Amino acid sequence: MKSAAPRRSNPLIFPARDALWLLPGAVMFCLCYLLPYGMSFGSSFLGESLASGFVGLENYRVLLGDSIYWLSLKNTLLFLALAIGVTLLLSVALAHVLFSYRFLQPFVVVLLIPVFLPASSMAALWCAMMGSRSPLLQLVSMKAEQWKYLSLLLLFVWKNAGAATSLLLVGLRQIEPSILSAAQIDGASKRVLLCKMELPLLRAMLAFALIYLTMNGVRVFRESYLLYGGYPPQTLYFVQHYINSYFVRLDYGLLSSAAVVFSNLVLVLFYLLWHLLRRGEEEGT
Amino acid sequence: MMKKLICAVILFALLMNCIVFLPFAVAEENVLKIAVINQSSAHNLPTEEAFFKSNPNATIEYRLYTEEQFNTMMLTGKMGCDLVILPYNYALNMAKKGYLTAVNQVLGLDGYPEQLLDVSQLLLMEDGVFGLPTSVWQTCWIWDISVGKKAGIAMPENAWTWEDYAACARNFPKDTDGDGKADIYLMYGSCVLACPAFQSVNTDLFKEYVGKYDEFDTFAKKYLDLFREIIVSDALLPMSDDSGAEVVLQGGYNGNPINLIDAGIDHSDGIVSYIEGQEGYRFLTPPLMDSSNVTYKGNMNVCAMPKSAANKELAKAFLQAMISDSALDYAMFMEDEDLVGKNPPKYNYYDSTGSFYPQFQERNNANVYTVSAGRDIQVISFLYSDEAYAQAQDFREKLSVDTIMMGRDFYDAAWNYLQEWYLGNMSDEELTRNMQYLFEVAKGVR
Repeated sequence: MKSAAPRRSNPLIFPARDALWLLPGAVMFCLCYLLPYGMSFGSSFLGESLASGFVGLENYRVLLGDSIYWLSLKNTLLFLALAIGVTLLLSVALAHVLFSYRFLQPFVVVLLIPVFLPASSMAALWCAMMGSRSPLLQLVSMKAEQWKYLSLLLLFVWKNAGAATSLLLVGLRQIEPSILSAAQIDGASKRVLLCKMELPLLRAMLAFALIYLTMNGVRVFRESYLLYGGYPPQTLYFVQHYINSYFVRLDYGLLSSAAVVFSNLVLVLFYLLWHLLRRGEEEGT
Repeated sequence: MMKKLICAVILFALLMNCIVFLPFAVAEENVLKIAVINQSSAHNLPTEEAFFKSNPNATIEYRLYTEEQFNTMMLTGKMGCDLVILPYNYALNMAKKGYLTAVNQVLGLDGYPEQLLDVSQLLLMEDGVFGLPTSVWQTCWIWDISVGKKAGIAMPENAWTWEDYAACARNFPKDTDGDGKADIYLMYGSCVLACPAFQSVNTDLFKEYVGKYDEFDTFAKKYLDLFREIIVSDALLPMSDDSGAEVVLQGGYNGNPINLIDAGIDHSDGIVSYIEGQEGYRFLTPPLMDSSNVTYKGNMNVCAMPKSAANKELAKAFLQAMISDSALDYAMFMEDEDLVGKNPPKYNYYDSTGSFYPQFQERNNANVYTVSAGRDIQVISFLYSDEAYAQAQDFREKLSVDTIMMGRDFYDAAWNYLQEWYLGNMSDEELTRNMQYLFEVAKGVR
């Protein structure tokens, strides 16, 4: 007797008859994301003037030969790595403190306030606190360029640490208390508990926090632009500054090719993070 | 039933969204639409009145956009205007990208209209003249002859260089009454942080550089020492606020006589007229980087016609009005001036209350200012002498303007670096490296 073939799991997590409900969302996704992306991709093969028409890969050749684009790409990735790393470390520490001292947990709401503040008012606040005339600057011996970098980094941490902390706090609460109690009874130190128990069990939430922080990290240009304009210090010149400068110059071909290259890079980054998240979920179950 | 209803509601909402994006580009026959990115560009009384003489039933609709909105319109191909009035570098950029029609062809001219201030070298491209000037602004300096004589220093030649300026500055300040205190300075503003006028002079050095050198190193080697000397010179009088040129002319600054005053030569403050009427003052050009190439930095607004103009006939009529005698015979003063005629106007539109200054109102998600025929504007005789006008126009024709899309941010960033350098927080090498970066970003890769 032939053994029954194993049933392949349905990739859809909902019944097929309900797929219709996704139609409006799918249509809007196509209209608002896929269509503009396709248009940008098409524009990346057009010349800088209306008359020049199709120019093949010329824009990509110019783009990849431009030292300023590489500078912007390097700055963006460096800032992302640094900002996300610092925020994540701080969030883990904060979440751990809040989890350990439960009476502090209501204060997580305070940490979330920056998420709801408009970027423009935040930038105004930051200018007053961390601008070139800031008393803080007088206290530390730092060059203006380094101070501006630190200022933007702190703004990112301040804005995003609260949300990341909340996510991690939720993750910590989901850990079965008996597992941690058992480990404690077995003599596990706090460091072992954190490194060997809590962090591995938090992997899915950490990956999710990482995705959240990466999303906001990619968009940090807005704050940078509001604080330092279109010509920020050399170390804060991001890819979006580059794209914006060619938008001003009406060079849509180069603009589009820069956007396509960067968006593909971000897609790869998110794919890797998504993979990490799935692995975390699978190992968690 | 409920599901169907919800589906219908969602689909209806989607449909409504789509309808919003549909272009309703119905050309209105008698409405001339002009896109501007700053309010004062819509202040064109002489041209408007000349236009209404031949088109009494037409309406001019100025539409004010932010730079981002304007660029987005071009990106999406929805310009929706018949003419644009823009700063020079914006118009030049549009022309280079092929968005503009050659106006000399529209007007049936061989080249640049000879009745206008000759800034043709800035407005000619391969296809022809891409726009006509609507306003020109430059800086002039004023030399106080009596103070110069008292100090025993002759007035510098026009077309002097920054080296000449530095040499002249070495003679100041002077103690003429022997009380041990300096009483004559070359110019106001020894503290760069407190002197906007001198700040702009400094950035002019860099503006000048942009058009001439490919690498900042070249500039740095040649000028940084000189620039440092100029900036820290004791020849400059400290100032605590930004007094107008006329106030300084009449009373010195805080009682201290000074020789040079930095002033706009856009006629709005009557400087040219004032110095012509005063024996003791002479008009002097700002120093040059290169005496063999006499050009003076300034700004210009340009009126141009997009290829996508819907109402080409009215656009042509407006351009014709710009070069007509009935427009060029009239002057107008307030922020942007339209003294772009080669010959002096005969009359002056006088709007003491500012009633005819553009007032934009929001209409259909756009900031609109509408002008129609039938306005009653007071007219007086032209204020300035022919000689003063000719002298000013001669200077204005040697106009050089930003050709790169740099924007205000560029100068803010450049000035921040200069301040750090001036205050000793940045070395020459760091300044050179940072300025090099700024220029590379500003110039772009192509």
